[in-house]
This record gives sequence, structure tokens and C-alpha cells, in this order.
Amino acid sequence: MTDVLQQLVNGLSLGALYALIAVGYTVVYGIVQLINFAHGEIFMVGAFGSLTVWLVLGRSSGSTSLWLLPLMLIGGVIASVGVALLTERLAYRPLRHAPRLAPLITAIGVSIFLQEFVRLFYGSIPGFPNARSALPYPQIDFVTGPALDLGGVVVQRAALFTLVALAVCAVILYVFVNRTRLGRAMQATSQDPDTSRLMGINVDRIIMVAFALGAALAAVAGLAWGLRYTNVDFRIGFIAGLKAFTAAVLGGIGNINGAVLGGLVLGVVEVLATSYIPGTFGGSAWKDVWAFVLLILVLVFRPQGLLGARVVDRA
Amino acid sequence: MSTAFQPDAPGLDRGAASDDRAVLVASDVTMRFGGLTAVDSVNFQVNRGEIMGLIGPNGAGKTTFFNCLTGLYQPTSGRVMLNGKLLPPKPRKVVMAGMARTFQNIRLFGNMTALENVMVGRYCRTSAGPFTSIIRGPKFRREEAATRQRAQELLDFVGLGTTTDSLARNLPYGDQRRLEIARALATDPQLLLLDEPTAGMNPQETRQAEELIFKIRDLGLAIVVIEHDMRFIFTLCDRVLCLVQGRTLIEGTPAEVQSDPRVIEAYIGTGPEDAADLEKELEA
Amino acid sequence: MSRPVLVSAAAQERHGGHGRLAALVGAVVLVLSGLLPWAYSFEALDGMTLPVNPSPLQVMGMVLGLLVILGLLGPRLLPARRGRLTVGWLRAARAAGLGAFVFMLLIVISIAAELGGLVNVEYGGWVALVGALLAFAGTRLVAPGPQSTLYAARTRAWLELLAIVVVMAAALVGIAYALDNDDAGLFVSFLAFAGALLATLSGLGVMAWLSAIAQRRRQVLILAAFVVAFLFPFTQDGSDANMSIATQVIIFAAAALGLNIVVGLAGLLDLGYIAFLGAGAFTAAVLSRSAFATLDWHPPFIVVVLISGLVSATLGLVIGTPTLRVSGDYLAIVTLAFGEIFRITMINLDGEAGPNLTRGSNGIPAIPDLTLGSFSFGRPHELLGIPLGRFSNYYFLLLVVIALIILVFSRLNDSRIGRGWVAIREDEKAAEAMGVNVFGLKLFAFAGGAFLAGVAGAVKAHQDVSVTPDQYVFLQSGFLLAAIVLGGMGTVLGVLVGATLLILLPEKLRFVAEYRLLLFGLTLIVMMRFRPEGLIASKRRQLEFHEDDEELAGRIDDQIQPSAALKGATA
Repeated sequence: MTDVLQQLVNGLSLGALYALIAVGYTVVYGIVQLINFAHGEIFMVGAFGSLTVWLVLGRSSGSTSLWLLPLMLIGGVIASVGVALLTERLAYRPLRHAPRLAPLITAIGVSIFLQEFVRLFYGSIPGFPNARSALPYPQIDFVTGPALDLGGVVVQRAALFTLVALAVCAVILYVFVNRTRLGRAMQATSQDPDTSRLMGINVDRIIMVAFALGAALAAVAGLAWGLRYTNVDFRIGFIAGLKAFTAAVLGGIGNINGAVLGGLVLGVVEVLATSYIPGTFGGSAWKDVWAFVLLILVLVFRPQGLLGARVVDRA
Repeated sequence: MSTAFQPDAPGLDRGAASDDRAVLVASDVTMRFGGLTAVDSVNFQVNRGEIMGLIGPNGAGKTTFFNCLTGLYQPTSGRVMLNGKLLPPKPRKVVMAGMARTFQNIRLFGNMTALENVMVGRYCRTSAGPFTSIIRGPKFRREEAATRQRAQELLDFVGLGTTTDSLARNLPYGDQRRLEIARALATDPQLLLLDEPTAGMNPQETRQAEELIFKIRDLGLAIVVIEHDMRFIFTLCDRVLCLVQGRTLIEGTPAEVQSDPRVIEAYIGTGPEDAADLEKELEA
Repeated sequence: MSRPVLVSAAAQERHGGHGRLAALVGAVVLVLSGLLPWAYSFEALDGMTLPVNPSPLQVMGMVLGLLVILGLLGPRLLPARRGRLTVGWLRAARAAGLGAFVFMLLIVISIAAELGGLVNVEYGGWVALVGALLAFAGTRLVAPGPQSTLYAARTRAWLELLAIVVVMAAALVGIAYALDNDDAGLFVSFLAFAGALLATLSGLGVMAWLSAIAQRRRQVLILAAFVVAFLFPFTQDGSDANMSIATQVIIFAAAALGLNIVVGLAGLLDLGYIAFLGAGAFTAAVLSRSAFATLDWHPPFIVVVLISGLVSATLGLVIGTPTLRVSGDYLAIVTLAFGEIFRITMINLDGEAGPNLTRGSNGIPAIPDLTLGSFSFGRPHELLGIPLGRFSNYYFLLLVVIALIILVFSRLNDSRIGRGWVAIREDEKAAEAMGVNVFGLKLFAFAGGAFLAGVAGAVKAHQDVSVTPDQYVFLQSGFLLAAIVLGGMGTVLGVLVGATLLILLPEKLRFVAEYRLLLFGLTLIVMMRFRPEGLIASKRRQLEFHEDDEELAGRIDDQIQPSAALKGATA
């Protein structure tokens, strides 16, 4: 029993990471019907952003004090939101009315560009390490360290941090989307941008807010990732992004609650597949395959996802 | 019009019709969405060489009923028979069974020429597969030439003979509507459904549309027209069905429907002045 | 999407005269400067140090200057008259002016880079640059003038055939020149010259005329192209270096053409296409006579090719059947996921995580060369007195393969199936409502493209000698897609150009090898912003990407009409 619980906890904490990133995909898709291929890289940039803060503030003293955490978070958010807004403004906005293929190709271009940019130029900032291979991520006190034992279930602190972070973000997200003007404007825009415009909503601004929102959550995920896996690498965006999109679709594209649920479900499925699928196709070598098989099954048998999609058919 | 245009082409499955002239028979068609009954027990029959009108105020379930007729929706109860056989559930099979339609908001293939648009309509009546297309034997050439010729004939038929190589998106609005009809005719239908064919047209264009529809009728097709332009409907149609709130209000000849006060009431309201105004307009 | 405007129309009206004068002066200066030394040392580019003895690049500079002059004086020499076709003189002048400036900039930068400093640019080079700058600035002040209508010209048959031959010969010479040199600066400058030349010809209207000829004389053109391609190895004087690049280009182009059927014709966004190429390659590897082959069955090559194609096609059917019913956006991600599944599966079939089929990440190396009867592709041999190496052998085989793929592509495009695909791209629901078998056509495109990829992969396995999973990663799908998107979707020539550029540029521009991918990503972004239909786009694609451009629609309508009169029965 504790074994199953253990796997569940592992799965949920992994899923929390996916959930945080998935929200970014789903919110952007809901409003502009663009699969922001580069969102995985936004997550990666967020991770590097928080790392950078530590490199500037903490590295010299070797400190891993907890007070650094909020600063790192802010740094990560600034980095990811900044990059997201830049890409929206420069790369995506001019293509808003182009056929679907153009923004998608652009997104792929942005993704490749960002990966390479970090890989090539991170090390050229004086004093910064070269990012061509994985960089160690500071293990901040209290949120990392010896694992906790809760009734026989071993919970890594970083995993707990991730879950708590998701919970907090989910609450903030809920309040924002449902209780603030901006949030309601976002909902309106995602349902009918033309009418929203007629109601006086600045659709361009709302789209920027959507991008920023997704990016901020991705930065949180970046921080959590670094704490959990103890290093960051310019490549982490690709697979994490793909899985997060799977999660978004699984929960129902355009549906924020769906993205969160989908992320958690995906994490659990992945962990269970690793541990419980017997024989040749089990184990960690095949876990990614199972995650993608799940994506395909969902799209074929229930394309609207678990909680129902929230996208207006613009055909 | 040459003999090439054959709505009765061999190979089209006509099936055994209950009434030898009936092309489309809708019996007791009901459409429910959850708790809402959009269409309630509507009966409808169209015969060969007949033009049926379908009218009703907005929200009357016209579009929903129309979608049941075209196979887009499956009726919750009741059934639709095309040529004596149950209407297939897929739009493509519906076309192959002999029913074609145009769209309310024109859906042409804008970046194809007029001729190419009509040629696409011939897709379901031709059969050149990948191997034939790659090897290009005599069968392929014959079929391509026949497709091209037939498309040109249809363009001539609807009066667009000179626009063969113009891009569909560059054509004037009235021509675009006619092109849509030509494209639908290319599928060799026995039943043609026209969804608000005169929307946005001036009186002259409307008259031209009338003439075209009569020409199509004279070929032996059955036609169903949804419209809001009352004068158009009453000039054109042999019989008219008026739907209000999902139910059949009245079905009959234009004269019968026109003079029924309930029809006027359904559209305008119950004020006596309004009714008088509308009557005057209808008589004009 | 609007193109950026440098000089307003009002400014052009007011200063047009000054602009013309300045441009003329600048162009003359540029032409004369060709007779002056441009570089301090002979090592820079192609040796531009001798006065009155222009190097090839200097001649190119002079040519661009002459083109500017021609464009500006053209309206005087051949005034426009009613009933006469319009030549786009001024547009040509503007293109040449811009091209000349870019060209000279690159030359100056290259000289500086190669010799270590701008001080090494001789006075002649500076004079040329100033001349080019004047020409550029001056032509910006000149209004573009009317569009050319040369495409409507009715020319004699012999003239058209001659034009085709001339173009082919020029292409051959140009490609040989570009390939022969290892100097990056020279390569880039030559590209700039070629681009400027093409843009100028386009402004004059010559390109549209050539394109109309190409439509009419398609058979001749294709024949001529293949003759040229066939002759290419013989110009290499026995060296196999360029042939290696050439074979890579052809395989890449063949795969890209297969993808073009999926993406360009049917409009399906397939991001996992590389998996089909990989499946074909692994199949061929496993069935080969390599010491590491994991199956003990070695059928003849023709059979292997067919099996590879069928394996990939089956994979395509398996993937396509469930996923082609979902919307286009999802299709992209799903195919990407499948690509990853393929890659991971290939790595895992190493005997530990799965049955040993592919030897995991080591892959299958030491694949022997193909043999047809007693002829081994690996052995160099002689033909007509000219030695041909290993890569030349594969080159000829690949010419055959790509000829077949091009044949399939163009015949499908111009048929009932091709029309169905265009209809699906335009309006899927309307197409369905008109009786088009949407799902069937999509599946056919998907599986058909996969089949072609499998075939290409089989040849690739033998040519690469070894097959490993990391040759078939998502980035490769990205490159294939880029070849199509950048070169020009929906056209064979466009894809060929795209493939050539994508393989050639990294080879020739070794100095940017570090930044290769960075520039690649940037190129994608920029191209999609300013020319999403690609470099050589079919007219229809241009229309699709510029939906709001009324003027373009009208222009293309006019261009279609005259050629219709010449259209006979379907070829």
C-alpha cells in the first residue's frame, strides 16, 4: 500500500511540474489558437533566470539561504516573461492573421533560436559558466535536503515544494481568472475576440497578459525543476514542453483546470508506467513512449480532453 | 445544354422510392439537444422537378432542420429518406447519394479558378486513383478531358462561361453565388439544396437567380430553397413549408401560405398595422 | 503582413530626378571601379589586387552597375507605348541598386575579415562601395514604375528553347563556380550577386516570362535539367569532394519532396517525418550484408528498397489512421510525439530494453556498398575517359530516384487527387460537402509521403555506411520542413533550392559552424515574417499566404489568363 502511495506522490510531484508548464500552453492556445512551440524554452529560460540570480547573489558566498528563494523566483519570472513578451511582439503578433503554418514554423524557429542562444551565449557573460553542458543548480536550504518520511512514504523536499507551489499558483490563477477584470477580459477574448474588441477590451494587451501569465508559471516550474533535479541544461525545454502540451491536451485544451489536472494525471501515469508495466516495455527507458501513447489515445478517443476543451471553432 | 448533363446518370443509385417521383422524404423528424427541442415532428417531401421553399423566422429551427436534411445532424427520432434509402450519416456519402448543397456564407475555394472549383465538384463522380494519375494512361486522359469539359459546360450553364480562369475570390458576389451552384451541380445531384441563395443580392441579381433555378428545375432536379426574401420564394416555389419554433406551421402552395395570417404574425408580430403593411408588400 | 517601406511615394515624386542622377553616377563609378584594385593582398577572395584586370567578383560588381544603368536608361531607349508590352525597367534598377550595395558590403566585410582589418581594403574597393551606395540610395528615390507584362509575350519556339538552354548552362556554370571555391566570403558574395541578378531579372519581367515558358515547355525543361544534372559529375575532373555534397543534397531533397507531398500539397503539418526516413534506413541496414545486421536475410537491393518503402508506408498508415481525423494543430504535436516514440524505440531495441533489432544507440555500422550484378557502387570507375568515384556512382542512382519522386509529385499535383488536396487546404468542410474524400486523401498523402521517405532512407543507409538513431532526431524534421518552407512550398524547384541551400550553406560557410543552428532559427522567424511562401513560390501559395492582398490577387489573375489561351489538352 505504501508502495502505491509512494508512486502516487512521486507521480503527483512530477505532474505538478507538467501542470505549471501546461497552463502556459493552454492559455495561449485558448486565445490565439497558436501552439507556442517555444513555451518549453520559456520554461528553460525561467530556470536559467533563477540560476542567474543565484550566480550573482549567492555564488560568491556559497550561500544557499532560503532568503535567496524569492529573489531567484523573481529573477526567473522576469527572464521568462521578458522573453515571452518579446517573442509575442516580434515573432507572433505580425502573423496573427496568417495561415496556421506560418506561426507554427516561426514558433519552431524561436524554439531553436532560444536553445542555441542560451547554449552559446550564457557563458559569454563575464563570470558565468558555460551552458553547453548541464549547470549545477543551487540546492536551497529547507526546500531541499534530507527527504521527509511521512508515514512510510518518502517525500523529497523538492517534490513537496513543487506540489505546494502548484497549489499556491492554482489558487492565485483561479482568483485572477475569475475574480479580476483582467481575468474576465481574458475569458471574453478567448471566447470571441472581435466582440471583446467592440466591448473596449484591448485584445493585444490581453494576449500579452496571457503570454506573461504562462511564462510566469513556467518560471516557477523552472525553479522547481532545478531544485529537484539539481541541474539545468539548455535542452530541458524540449521534452518537458512536449509532455506539458500532452498534459494540456489531456485535460482539455484551452481549459486551465484541465491543464492542471492533465499535468497531474500525466505525471502519475508516467511514474506508474515506469514501475508497473512488466516485461520488455516497462521501466524508465520506455516511460516517455507511454506518455506519448497516452497523448495519442486521448486525441483519438476523447479529443476534447478530460474536462472539455475551451476553444471556439474558428473554422 | 448538352446531353452530358445527366442527373439520371446510370450508376446513381435511385433505390425504390415510395412515391416514384419523391426524391426526399422526411418523416416525423425531431431534433433534440439535451432539453431543447429544436425541431418537432416535421414532415417534408420533395418530388422531382419540384421547387420547395423553406421559410420561418430566425430561430425557428430552419437551419437545424436543414442540417438534418443534409446529413450533418442525425435526427433524434424520425427519418430522412433520399431516393427511398435512408440518408447516410456522412456528408460525403450524402453527396454521392445524389444531394448537393450551397452555403449561406459562400464557401468557395477562393484561390482556385472558377473552372477548378467546379472540377472539384466532379471528384465524387470520377475515379482516377493514385496509380492511374501517376502512370497517365488513356483512361486518365479521357477522364481529365471529360471533367474539364463538363466543368466548362456547367460554367456556361450558370452564365459564367467567360470566367473560366478567374480566381474565385476575384469574382463579383453574384458570380460567386452562381459558381457555388455550378460546383454543386457538378456532383450530378438529383436534389439541390440552396441555403439563402439571394442573400445580399440586388433585385436584378435576384431575378437572374430565379431564372437559373427554373432552368435547373427544368432539367429534372428537385430543389429546396431556404430564403427570407418572400417575393422570391413565392414566385419561385411550387410549395412552401413554414417552420415556427421547430414545428410545421403550414405547408402548401405559395398562395395558401401567403394569405395565412399566422405566417405574417410569426414574422412580424400581432399588430394589425404591421400585417396590413406586409400584405401590401406581398401583393406588390 | 506589410512590407516595410523605406521611402514614401511622395518623396519619390519630389526627388525622382535627383535620384536617377545620383544612381547613374553611382553606377558608373561602380563599373569603373572594377578596373581598380579592391584588396591589398592577393589572398583575399579571388585576388582583386590588379588594376585593369578585374577578378570574377569584380566583374560581377561591374555587371551589377551596368544593370542599374540599363534599368535607368531603359525607359528612354525603349519608351513605353500602347500595344507594347511593359518592361519593368525601374523596378529592375531598384533591385540592382539594392543588390549592388549588399554585394559590395559583403565584399568589403569579407576582405576585412580575411586580411584582418578594413585598412586592407584598397581605395578601389571603397570607391566601388561608395558607388554602390549612391546607386542604392538614388534608386530608392525613384518610383518603381509599372509592373512588367513580359509574361504575356508570344515568342518563337526556338527563342524559348534557346532561353531554356541558356538558363541551364548559366545554372551549371554558377553552381560549379560556387562549389569550387572554399572561400566563405567568395561564396556569400557570389550568392548575393546571384540573388541580385535574379531580382533584377524579376523586376524586368524576365523571370515571369521564363516561368511562363517553363509552363509551356515543361517536358523540355525537365529533360534539360536532367541532362545538366547528369553532366555535373563530369565537370568535377575526377574529384569526389563535391559529389559527396551533391549526393547529400539529393537525398535531402528527395526526402523533402516526399514531405512536400504531405505538407505542401495536402497541407498536413508533419513534424515527425524523419521517423519515416529513419524507418527506411534501419530496414535497409537490418537487411544489409553488414557484419552487424541483426537479421539473417539479405534480399537484392531492389527488393530492400521496396520493403523499406512499405515498412515506412505501413508506419504512416498506423500513425495516420487515428491522428488524421484530429485538427491540424494537434496533428503537428502528435506527429512530433510519434517521431520521438520512433527515436526512443530505435534506441531501446538494443537487446536490453527490448528485442535486439537496431543495436540501440550504436546503430548498425559498416553497411557495405550497393552492388548491382557485378557492379559495386563503392568502386571508382571510368566513363568517357573521366574518372568517377564512389559518390558519383551513388549520385547517378540518386538522380534516378529523385526523378521518379519528382514524376510522382508533379503528376499527382496535376490530377483529380491534386485538386482534392488543394480543396482540402482551402476549406476542408466545404470540400467534404462537395464529395471529396477528405480523410482518404489525407491518409494517402501521409502514407505516400512516408513510402517515398522509406525509399530515400534505404539509399541513404548505404551511402552513409552506418545508421544510428541520433541521425534521425526532431531537428532533422525541422531541417526538412525548413527546406520546403524556405525554398517554396508546393513547387519542385523551390524544394530543390531550399534543400541545396540548407546543405550547401553550412558546408561553405564553415566559419559560422558554431552559430549554424542559431542562424537557422533566426532564418525561420525572418522568412515567415517577410516571405512565408518561400523563395520560389507557386502562385497559389502566394495567394494563400497573402489572403488580404487584393492587388496580388488581381495581378495573378491576369497572369493566369494569357497562359490559358495556350493551354491545350492536359499533358
